[in-house]
Amino acid sequence: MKDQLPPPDFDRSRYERPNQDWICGHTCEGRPCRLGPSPGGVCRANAECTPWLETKPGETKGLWKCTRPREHGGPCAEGPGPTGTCGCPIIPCAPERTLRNLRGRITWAVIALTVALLLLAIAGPWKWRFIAPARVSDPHRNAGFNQLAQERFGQPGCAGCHPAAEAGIGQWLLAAYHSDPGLLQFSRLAQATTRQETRMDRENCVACHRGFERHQPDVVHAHSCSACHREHQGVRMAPPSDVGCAHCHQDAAQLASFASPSKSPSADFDPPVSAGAVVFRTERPSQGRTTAFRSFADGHPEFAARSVGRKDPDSLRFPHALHLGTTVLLGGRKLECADCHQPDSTGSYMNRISFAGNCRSCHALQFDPFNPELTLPHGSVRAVVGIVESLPLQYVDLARRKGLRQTDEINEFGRQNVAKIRQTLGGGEQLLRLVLFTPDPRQVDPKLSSERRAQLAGCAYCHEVKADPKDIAVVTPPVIPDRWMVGGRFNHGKHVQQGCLECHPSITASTAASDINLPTQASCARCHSPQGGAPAGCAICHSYHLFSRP
Amino acid sequence: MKGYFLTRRVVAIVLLFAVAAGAIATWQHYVPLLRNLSYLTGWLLLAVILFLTAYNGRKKLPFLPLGSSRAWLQLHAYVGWLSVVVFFAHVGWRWPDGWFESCLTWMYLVVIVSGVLGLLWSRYVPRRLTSRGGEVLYERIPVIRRSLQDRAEDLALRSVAAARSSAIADFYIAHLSDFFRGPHHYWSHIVEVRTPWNRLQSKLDDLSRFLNEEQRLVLGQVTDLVRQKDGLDYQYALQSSLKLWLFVHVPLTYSLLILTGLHVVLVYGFSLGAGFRP
Repeated sequence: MKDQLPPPDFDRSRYERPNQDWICGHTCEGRPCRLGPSPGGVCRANAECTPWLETKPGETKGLWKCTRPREHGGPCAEGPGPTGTCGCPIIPCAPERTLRNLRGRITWAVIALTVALLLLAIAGPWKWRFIAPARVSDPHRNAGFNQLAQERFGQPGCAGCHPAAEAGIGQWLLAAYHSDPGLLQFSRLAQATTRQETRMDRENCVACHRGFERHQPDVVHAHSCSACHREHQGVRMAPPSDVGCAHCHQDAAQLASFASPSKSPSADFDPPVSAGAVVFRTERPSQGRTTAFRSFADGHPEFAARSVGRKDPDSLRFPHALHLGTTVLLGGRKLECADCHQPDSTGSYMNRISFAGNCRSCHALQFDPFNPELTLPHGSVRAVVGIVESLPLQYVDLARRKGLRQTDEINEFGRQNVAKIRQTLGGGEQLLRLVLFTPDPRQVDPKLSSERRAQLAGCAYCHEVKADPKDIAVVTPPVIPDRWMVGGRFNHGKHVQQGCLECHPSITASTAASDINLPTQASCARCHSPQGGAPAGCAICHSYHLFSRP
Repeated sequence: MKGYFLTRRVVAIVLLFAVAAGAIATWQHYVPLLRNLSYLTGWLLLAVILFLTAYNGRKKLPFLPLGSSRAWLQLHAYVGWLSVVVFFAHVGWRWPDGWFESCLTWMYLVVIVSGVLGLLWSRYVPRRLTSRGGEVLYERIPVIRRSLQDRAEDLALRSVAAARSSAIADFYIAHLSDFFRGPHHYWSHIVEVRTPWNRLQSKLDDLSRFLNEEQRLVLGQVTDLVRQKDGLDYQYALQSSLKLWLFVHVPLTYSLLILTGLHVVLVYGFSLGAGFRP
């Protein structure tokens, strides 16, 4: 248990001034002089008192009296000397600084040190690394960029983007003074919901990044590149956040201002696609895409390709339901999606469906039930007509392929088979009409099995075939899009863990090729939402920029 | 009175948390809406730091009617806590990557942590000083120490003549003269370790066994002075610690302001003023 100490005994009448800068040098010895040092820190002590000459009535010389105050011991025993000098001279001291003064000096020293270190840092060769808020992304710091900056702006490095950078701190101050919004324009800072396009964007960013169109043709070029592309965030520039997109697409009033009919042709709004690609185009709404929404999971419009009532205008007759059912078998098993739909080399999209690659194995285009080796060519009505009109020759050729060498045998083979097919299917024009225009082989032979029916199918089984006086028939070419939703990106490869039917559930009930069996926005949002856990940012699917059209 | 202070502190803390939560909610609301929010939070932070720094100026201008120093100290503490929220909102709740911005962050953190530690220390130390007793003005400590030294020396010298023995004087020269000459056991007092005092007490007890009654009386008086000197050292250690933490907090605050000034120039010069052509 600690004992409580009483306060020490000392003269409470004495007054201390801790705010003074200097204290007597004898203080640490416990014997500060009465006068103390001057405000400038000079010792003023010479004696403990200034003696007073007391002259009594009748005396001429008088007597020197000690005047030391009572709190400093009162009059001393020695008393003043005969000449009036104090008998207790004080040894001069070296006054010491008070803690307060010392703290002030240390503060100034630290300020000076800070300024010196800053000057050293911003004057040295490492100044760019020092002042950079974070590492510049690799594309903006490599040798190629420096060379480009040297060629275009006359200076490499930071000055490639910041013209005032190379000129030193004076120019930095000027640049800060001329900033927009200015240094003290708080109201403008508070009102800015986006970063406006700056001279740096026009003269520096776009000088190198040519060919970037900025989003929709009607949108004025008001946004700064840095509104979305945040530099100095590390080795890689971070992908743009949704903030920039939300700036317009969450704001119904702002979108309404864009909703007036566009001055630009509708085709200008079509996202560009790679050459040769077949895409499924949807017409642009007259008011543009101006529905306000908060996020992909919260209010994002339905995909245009999935809008109500939209049909695939392709004339091909293809029922997915039939092919995925138990009727159509491949090697005794049911067909799977992957039997036809294979990813391309990037894994993002599916390879184009072709007759040779995907259909021929089942739809062999045979026309003679007795000679399945004979097939019709695909892709040309004229070639089909040629085959049918040269049937005897085709059988002769078939006989040779079967190994017959004797002319008599070959001729006999031809005669028999021509007679047989004429007897069964009819000859000449009848056979040609059958091959070109019959939509179902069972119209000819109702007993055909499903497999034989598929093999013996003619053109009209899958295609729209119209009679043509000149070419006998015209087959409407099928248009199977390579890309269905060109406004966004998709990567099948990243979705392999999901089964096809998870996203395309309607496919098993689809009886016509005109059905659009794409996923709905809601089905995507099941995963791509805060609840689903998958990323749901705008940039996952969309690009802001429309690249220059050729 | 204690209840009043407790209530005031609870109300202030609740208010502080409410304001901080409000500030965070406001920040979150405006993050997606205001592109220049970091500029606004930056200016707010600078204003807060300037207000906090103004407390030092207020102490230098006691003659101006700017409110009591106690009220300023209260505001200084609570606004200092609030500045932490503003700071992290300004930096976006992440650690900066750049050298200069890291320096700035470190500087702010050292200042704020020194302030927090100083605040806690200044709440804790007075209680210790009061419970120990022997309270004294810090500036008076050398004079009182000297007084104790003189009295102890006098007792030691007088004991020689009175008891015809130099035992106490010898002991004083061997063990106490240095002890009375200046402050001792600084860190022991700071961390509240009594080992040095117990050791000295033990030596005094050992000596006491060999003394006669008259000498014991003198030694008792010397021991009393030793206890007072130890209390004085305790006061010196703790009171000086209350002053010395400001040697970190105050100078670095001004360094922080200088770095902040350069930060403003860089941010405006290289971002909003990036299009300026020299």
